Order: sequence, then C-alpha cells, then structure tokens
Amino acid sequence: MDQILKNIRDLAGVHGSFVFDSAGRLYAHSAHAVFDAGALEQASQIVVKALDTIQLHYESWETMSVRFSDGWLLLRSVGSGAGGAAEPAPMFLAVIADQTLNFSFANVAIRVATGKIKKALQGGGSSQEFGPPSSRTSGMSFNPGYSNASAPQISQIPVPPQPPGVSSSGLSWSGFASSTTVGSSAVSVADQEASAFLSVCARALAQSVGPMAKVFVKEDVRKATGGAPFSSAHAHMLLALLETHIDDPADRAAFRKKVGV
Amino acid sequence: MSTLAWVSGIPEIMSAVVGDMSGAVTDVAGDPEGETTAAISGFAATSLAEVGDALGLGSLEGFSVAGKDIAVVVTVMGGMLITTRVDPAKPLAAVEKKLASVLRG
Repeated sequence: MDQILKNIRDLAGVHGSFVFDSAGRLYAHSAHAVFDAGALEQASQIVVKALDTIQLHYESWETMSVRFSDGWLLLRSVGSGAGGAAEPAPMFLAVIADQTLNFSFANVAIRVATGKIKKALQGGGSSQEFGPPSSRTSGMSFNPGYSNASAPQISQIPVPPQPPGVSSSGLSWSGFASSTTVGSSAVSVADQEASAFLSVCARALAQSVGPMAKVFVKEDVRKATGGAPFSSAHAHMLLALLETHIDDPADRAAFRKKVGV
Repeated sequence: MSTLAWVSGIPEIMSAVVGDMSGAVTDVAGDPEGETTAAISGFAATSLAEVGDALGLGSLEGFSVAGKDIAVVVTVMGGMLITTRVDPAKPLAAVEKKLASVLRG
C-alpha cells in the first residue's frame, strides 16, 4: 500500500495521497511533511461528510475532482475494506495536488493505483501494511428517547392534508412506490401508508433543517431498514435517527408533535 | 440573459440548477428534484470548502462527480452554485471547459 501511494506522490504536482474509510479514519498515507497524519485524518473526516451527501444523490459515483484556487483534491471510491470487520467499510483514495498537475497524466496514474488498491483491499493486506483500526465502531448512533413500547404505529399517525404549494416544494415523495425502488436515490417502502408516513416526517423535519430534510429521511430510512422496504416496524428507529438532525429541544418537541408522537 | 439560459445552451448539459452555499435553490431547468440537488450541492460544497482550508488549497472553485451513469459539474461563482448534469456519454473534461468558458467568460 505504501508503495502504491508513494508512486502517486512521485507525480509532478502531487503533494500527497491517502486512503481513508467512510468514518473518516486514515488507513494509509504518503505525503509531504506539512500533511501529517493528524491533518490528513482531520481532512478525511470533513471529506466524508461531503461524500456521504454525494452518495445520497449520486449513488453510482466513482470519481470526484475538487478544484480550489491553489490546487486540486482528487477523490476515488476504491471499494470496501477487509480485515475482519462484520461489515466492510467503503474506502476512498484522496490525492492532494497543486496547479501544476498534469491532469490527464495524473488521471491515468491514479486509475492504475486505484486498481491496485482495490486488489489490495480485496486481499485484505497484512495488518502492518494495511488494515482497519482496532477500535472499529458501527458509525451509527441512536437516540435512546424511543423504546419499542412507545414506538408509534404508522396507522395511528394522522396524515395531514397537503398544504398549498407543497407539490412544488420538492418534499413530495414521488420517488416512493409500494415495494419498489424508483430513481437512483429512492428508498423502497412496504405500502402506501408507509410512504405517506415518510412524507409527514420529511415535511415536519423540513421545518427545522430546510431542504435537506428529504435527503436526511432517505439516508435514515436506509440506516433504519438496512435496505429492506420501510414499514411500521422501522418507524421508532427512523424517528430516533431523524431527531438527531434537530439541535434545538423545542424544535425537536415540535417535530415529535407534527409526526404524531 | 440569465446564468441558467447560458448554461442550458450547451448541448451536453441535461439539466441545470442554480442555488447558493446554503442549499437554497434560485433557478431550475430540467431537474425534477432541483431543490434536493441544490441542497446536496450546497451541503457538499460547504464541506469541501472546509477541506480546502484545512489542506491549504485555497478557496473552492468547483467540483465534478463522475460514475458509470452519472456526470455532474458544480461551479462556484460569486457565492452561487451552478449544478449541471452532463450527458455521461460525453467527455466530461470538454464539457467542463465549455462551462468555464460560458460562466467565467
């Protein structure tokens, strides 16, 4: 792994390259002294936020090129890490470069490196050369405010009439259909009732977080269901996840009230 | 002529959304999920600008996202974000050049 990253770093205009996982943990790096492991891990953690967002809307993304006034950050999806984790985390390669980078040449070199990194990841690599950090966590946190006993049933939650203008607000759930997945970023639902419930959640959440509400709902539905169609059984977990996006306690209470909890 | 009209005139552009860093949308052409697209671009751009600061790369000028069936170019211009979905069959670099020429003159 070190040699692969060093080969990238040897390209004219490149100042460093590093591999990190979807939790922003640095796995390997080769960079000029100014980019120490701490700085790169800090950058990884911020990049992951952007990648999580991009992933929601552009699921099939493979490469990302970010242009700054003084240089470039090139990002590649390199598959999933091995190393014995229950669920391998997605991994990414990042390359830091300045304005002198020969973009076409670098793209070829990075593509070659990406292939090698993917191969190394599939093989697992040695623990010294490449491996996940020892303190792996799931990266998911749940608000314990909901218990199964108090879990709302979808059928008990009233679906308010759609207010004027909502159809053009982007908060309608046109991407949802019973037991189907529509569109690249849609999630599947078990029935129309579940779909209506998600609409209520998105509208209520939008009062606090704005247009990102629909994105958060989709993301949290995936977390709550693990890819299964959303149904009433997942409602309490979804609401707990959605609440984490609301900082203000009063807003959180208003959200609960709006969704009928 | 509006920014959107200029951008929409490029044949490889399939849709365009004009918004700002906060994710608010101001203009949409050809994107049924324009509001979500603007929010995604705004959120991603805010994080990427932070990365630029952390790594000393300067201010964010834009980013492109590519995959098997996706090609998107986001341009930062005077506080605005112009998100354009490009025909993935076309060479992205060439479209980026056209966009830069149209948007930056």
